[in-house]
Amino acid sequence: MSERTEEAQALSVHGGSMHPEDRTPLIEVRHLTAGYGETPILEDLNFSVYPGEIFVVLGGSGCGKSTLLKHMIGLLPPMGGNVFIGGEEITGAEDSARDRILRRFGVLYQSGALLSSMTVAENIALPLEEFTSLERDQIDLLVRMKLQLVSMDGSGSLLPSELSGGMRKRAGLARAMAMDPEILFFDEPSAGLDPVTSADLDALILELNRALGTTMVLVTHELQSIMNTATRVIMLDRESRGIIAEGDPHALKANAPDPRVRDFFQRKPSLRRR
Amino acid sequence: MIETLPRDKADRLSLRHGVDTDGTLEIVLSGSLTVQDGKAPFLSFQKVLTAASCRGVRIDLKNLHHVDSAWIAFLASVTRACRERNLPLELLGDAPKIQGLLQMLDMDALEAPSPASQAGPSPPGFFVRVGEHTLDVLRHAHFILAFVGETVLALLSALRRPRQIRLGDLMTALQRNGVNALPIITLINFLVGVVLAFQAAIQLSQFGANIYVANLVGIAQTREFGPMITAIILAGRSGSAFAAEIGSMKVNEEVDALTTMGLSPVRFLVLPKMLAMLIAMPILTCYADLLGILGGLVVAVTGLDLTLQGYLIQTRKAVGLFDVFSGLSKSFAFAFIVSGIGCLRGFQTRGGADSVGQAATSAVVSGIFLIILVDAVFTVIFQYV
Repeated sequence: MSERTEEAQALSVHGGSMHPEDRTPLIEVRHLTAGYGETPILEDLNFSVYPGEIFVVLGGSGCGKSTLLKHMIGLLPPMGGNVFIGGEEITGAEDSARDRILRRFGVLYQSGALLSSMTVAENIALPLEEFTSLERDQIDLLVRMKLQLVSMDGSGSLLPSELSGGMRKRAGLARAMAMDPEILFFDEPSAGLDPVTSADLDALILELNRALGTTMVLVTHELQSIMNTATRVIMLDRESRGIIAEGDPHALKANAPDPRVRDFFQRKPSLRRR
Repeated sequence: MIETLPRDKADRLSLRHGVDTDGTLEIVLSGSLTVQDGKAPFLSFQKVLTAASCRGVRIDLKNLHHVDSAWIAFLASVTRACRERNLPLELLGDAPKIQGLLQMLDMDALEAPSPASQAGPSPPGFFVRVGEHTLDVLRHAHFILAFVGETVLALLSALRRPRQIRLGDLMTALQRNGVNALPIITLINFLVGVVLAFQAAIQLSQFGANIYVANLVGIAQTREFGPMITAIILAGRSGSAFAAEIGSMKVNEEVDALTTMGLSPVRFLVLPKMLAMLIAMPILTCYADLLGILGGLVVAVTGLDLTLQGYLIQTRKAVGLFDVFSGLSKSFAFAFIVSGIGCLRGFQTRGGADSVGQAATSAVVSGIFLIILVDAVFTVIFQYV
C-alpha cells in the first residue's frame, strides 16, 4: 500500500468514513465568476470542500488559482456567484457576520506575511490579544504551543527578517492557527523552498490535519506536494476558464481522459512547444 | 452548582461542581471549550477552587464534546493551581479530538518554559556594548564614505560622458521633484514673505521707516529664507520619497538584482535623482525668492501705504547680485544634502516594511538638520567675504 493511501486511510479516521458527498460541505463555491476589471479569468465555477479534507487547487501559471483563493477568503468580490463558508455567504457579508466567518479560517500567505515590526511570538499572539479575553500568561502558553506544533520552539523572540524562508512559512502557519480555525488556506506553500524543507512542510500539513482535523485548502502547482498531501484536487485551466478535472490526484495522473491533465501530472511540455 | 459561560455559539461550556463526601472537589465540564471563550473558563475554575475547601480535584470530561488548544492552556493552568495547593488532580475521560494534538506537544516544556529560549540571550555587558557601538559607528562611517565616493565618481563620470545619464529617469525625477513641488513652494514662500513684512513693519513703522520693509524682506528672502525653506520642503517631500523608494527596492532585493545585472545602483538610482535635484533646487529657489518678495509687496501695498513702484525700486536698490548668488550657492549644497541623504538612508535599509518607514523618517530628520547646519556655515562664511 502506498504511503499516501495510508495517509488517506488515517485521515478517514477523523474525517469520517463516509463518502465526501454524503457529508455537509464546509466550503461551497457556486457559479463563481471571477476576474479583474471587466475580464473574467474564471467562469461559472462549482465545487465543494468537505470537513477534514486536504483539498488542492492546481493548474498552470496564470490559470487563476490565486484569484480563486482570494475570492474564497473574501479578499476580492466576485463578478458573479457565491462562496459559502460553513453555510454562511462570505461574499457580501458585512460587519459581525463577516468577522464570524473570518474567525473560521486562517491563511498562510506565500511569503508568510508576518508583520515585520513584531517578533514571531507577537505575530502569533496578535489575533489572541485582539479577539479573545485571554490573560497574558494564557496567551503566552498558546503561543509556545503553536510554536511547538510547527517545530519552532524558542524562536518566538526572533524578528521575521531573521528567519529563513522555511521558518517564515512555519511561523506564518503558527499565526494562521492561532485561533484554532476549522479551515486553513495555503497559498503556494512550497514556493521558494528547497525539496527537503518543502517535504517537511508537507509532512507538517499532514500531521496537523490528522491531529487537529483541520480542513486544508492548498493552492499549488508543485506536483510532489500535491501527490504527498492531497486527498482531492480540482484542476483549473486558463483557456477554458474553469475546472477541467476533479478527484484523487493519483487516479487523475494515471487515468485522466483530458490530455491537458495527464500532461500536467507527467510534466510534459505544452502542445504548442512540441 | 452549575455555571454556564456565555458564548456566541449555541454550544456553551457549563461547569458543574460540588464537593464529595471524601472531600474531593468534583468539576463536571460539558459543552465545548475553545479560545473564543477567552479567560472565562480559567476564572470560573479559579473561583471554584478558591471557594471550595477540598482535599483533591477531579475533573469529569465525559460531557465535553468539543475543545481546541484552549483546553491545553486550561489543563496547564489547572495542573499548576493544584500543584501550588498540593492537591491531587484526577481527570475522568479524555478531552475529545485532542489526543493527536497532545502527541505533537511536549507538555513539560510548555508548562515550564526555559526562560532563556523565550527571553533571548542575556543583555551584553558595558564593555561589549561600547565595543559594539564603536564598531557600528565605524561601519556606518565607512558606508557613508563609500557612498559619497561612489556618488562623486558617478557624477564626474556622467559629466565626462553625458550619455551615461538615463534621460527618461532624469526627466521623471525633474517632474516629480521640481514641477510637482511648485504649488507648495509657491504657497509657503508667499506666506513667509507676508509674515516677514508684517513683523518688519511693526518695528520699522515706529521710526517712519516702512520703506525699509522692502530691504528686510528682499535680503532675508534671497539670502536665507528662499533657499532654506525650499530645501526643507524638498527634504520632506523628495528626500523621504527617495529613501522609501530605494529602501523598498533594497528590501525586495531589487538593488541586488541591479548589481548582479552589472548595473551600478548608484548610477542607476542615485544619479538621476541627484542631477534632478541639482537642476530643480536652484530654479525653485529663484522662484521662491520672487514669491517671498511678492508676499512682502502685497503687505506693503495693502497695509503700509507704500506704492508698488516705490517698493520695487527699494527692493532693486537693496538686493544685489551677491545676495541672490549666495542664496543660489546654498541651494546647490542643499540639493546634494537632500538627494544624498535620501538615497543613503534608502541604501542603509535592512529588514522589512518598518525599516523602510524608519529610513524615510531618518532621511527627513537628518536632511533638515544638515540643511540648517550648512546654512549656518555658509552664513558665517559670507559674512567675511
